[in-house]
Amino acid sequence: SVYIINKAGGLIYDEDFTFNKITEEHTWQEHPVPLVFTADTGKVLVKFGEFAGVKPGYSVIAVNRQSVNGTMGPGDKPIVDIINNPESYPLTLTFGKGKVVANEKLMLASMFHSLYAIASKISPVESSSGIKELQTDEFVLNCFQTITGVKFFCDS
Amino acid sequence: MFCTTGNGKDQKRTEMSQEEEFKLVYGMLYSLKSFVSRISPATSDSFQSYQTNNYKLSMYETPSGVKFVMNTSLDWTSNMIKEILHDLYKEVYVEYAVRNPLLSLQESIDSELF
Repeated sequence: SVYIINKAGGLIYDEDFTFNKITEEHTWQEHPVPLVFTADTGKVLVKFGEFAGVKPGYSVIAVNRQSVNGTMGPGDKPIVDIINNPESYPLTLTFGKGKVVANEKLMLASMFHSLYAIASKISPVESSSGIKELQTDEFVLNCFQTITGVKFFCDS
Repeated sequence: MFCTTGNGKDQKRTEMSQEEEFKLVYGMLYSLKSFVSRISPATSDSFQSYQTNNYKLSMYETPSGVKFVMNTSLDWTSNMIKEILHDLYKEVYVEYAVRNPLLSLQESIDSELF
């Protein structure tokens, strides 16, 4: 995904090219699912409980193999209601990393803007630019800042 | 926290005291970790290193929460750095710092060998 940040640190453009790699899928036959869900950040997250590889932080991306839309499942019914309703069992839930919500993207962009500035301040060498490349276990993030202060960054 | 300057000609380009710099670095690492875990397309991820046009900062975090941070020049490969940091933890920190019953947790580590 690509993000463009303006001089003040606000997100002006973003584009998402990643698609969900399905990570865990499970079918439950009876009502109590041994996981606690929370639905306040625009997607249904596993808040507590661990089961067959599904840990807190995973979010529901498909119900009965139909992909969800935010907190609404197929047929526009809230997913939490589907899970709590004993009549919808046997139920198949697919878990993965949910899509980043628009609000969260704004937050992440401004976070990055500040981190970029701090990186150039704590440099042991005299003058340094900010973060050009950031590496983690799973992805690499590259950033380019123009002379007008606009930043382009993308992860790959 | 323990800090050593690897480069002899270290010029202070800001007016920050060492203690303030420590706090800044720690705050930055904390925010970086959180940023990485949220933006990552994988379900669980942790920050390893970043580089600017002048230096490269690498971090190795142990499961107990101790973080080893190192600033290097750009030509070091990340595999080498990771190995060094891991060895630093294994050989030096565990042997001398952890197993030293006289060392309290809050004071910075003075041991010369370290």
